[in-house]
Amino acid sequence: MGRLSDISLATQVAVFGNKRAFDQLVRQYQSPVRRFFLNQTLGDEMLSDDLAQDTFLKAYTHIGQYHGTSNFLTWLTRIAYNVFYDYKRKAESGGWKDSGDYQVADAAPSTPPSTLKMDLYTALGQLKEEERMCITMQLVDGYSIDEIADITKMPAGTVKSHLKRGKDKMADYLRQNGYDR
Amino acid sequence: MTDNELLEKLFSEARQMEVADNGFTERVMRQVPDTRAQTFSRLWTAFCVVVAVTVFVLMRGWEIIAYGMVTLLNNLQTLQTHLMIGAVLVLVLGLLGISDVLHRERYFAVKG
Repeated sequence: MGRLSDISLATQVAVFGNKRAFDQLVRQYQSPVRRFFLNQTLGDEMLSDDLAQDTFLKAYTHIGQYHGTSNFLTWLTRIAYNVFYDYKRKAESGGWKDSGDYQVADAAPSTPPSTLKMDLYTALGQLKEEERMCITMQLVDGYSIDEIADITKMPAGTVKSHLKRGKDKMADYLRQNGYDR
Repeated sequence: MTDNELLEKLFSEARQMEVADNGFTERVMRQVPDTRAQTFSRLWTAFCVVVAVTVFVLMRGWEIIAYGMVTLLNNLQTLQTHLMIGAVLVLVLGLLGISDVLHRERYFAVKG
């Protein structure tokens, strides 16, 4: 979906409260947003869907703040990032485990278990929260370092450091587990 | 195999991964708040403000207010108690109305 079309749909939502237009935006972008959360939660489908739902509801109520200067998906990812860290803050104060302590979740009941998913989430589980965030944004979602810095509000140099450390850790882990054969 | 090739091997499939909707969109849309009531409320408030300002200008409201203030000050000492209570009541109701509109706007602003 082109940016013009996204802007047109977002305007219809903001001005007329057009739910059908918002339905189209959700349908179009649910996959990348849910995948983003799956990567951060190491495959926890229920949590990912809850956070993705929260992201879209926030997007709906703040849609007037989307001015079309960036991709709609980039704007959504910025909200998703904030939703994730809001959740994490709240959960941590309630005793949620720190980064690196996630359990790799089983694959979704609706989809058969996949070796790829397990490999990916297990490998991502070796990383710190910020490293995982930067790595998945670059290597899965395809964002540049500047875009990651813009979304996460981290300095570009910090993003580069997280990427470097994260990639080194992942490569070591993959080699140790014979993934290079 | 270099580090980059190793990571590319792992992430290339992950990039292609599409998450099936499986009713997710419907679940989101069921939770979406009704903003039409909010829009209507704002339009109604704007309409009332426009009408009030127009009437104020057409009736030269500032002259009425000035005349009322001067009369009030002149007669303050001789003003009967029940008229004084009435004036205070009108003032309080006016302030409550303005406060309600501001509160509603702030609520909507917080909700988004």
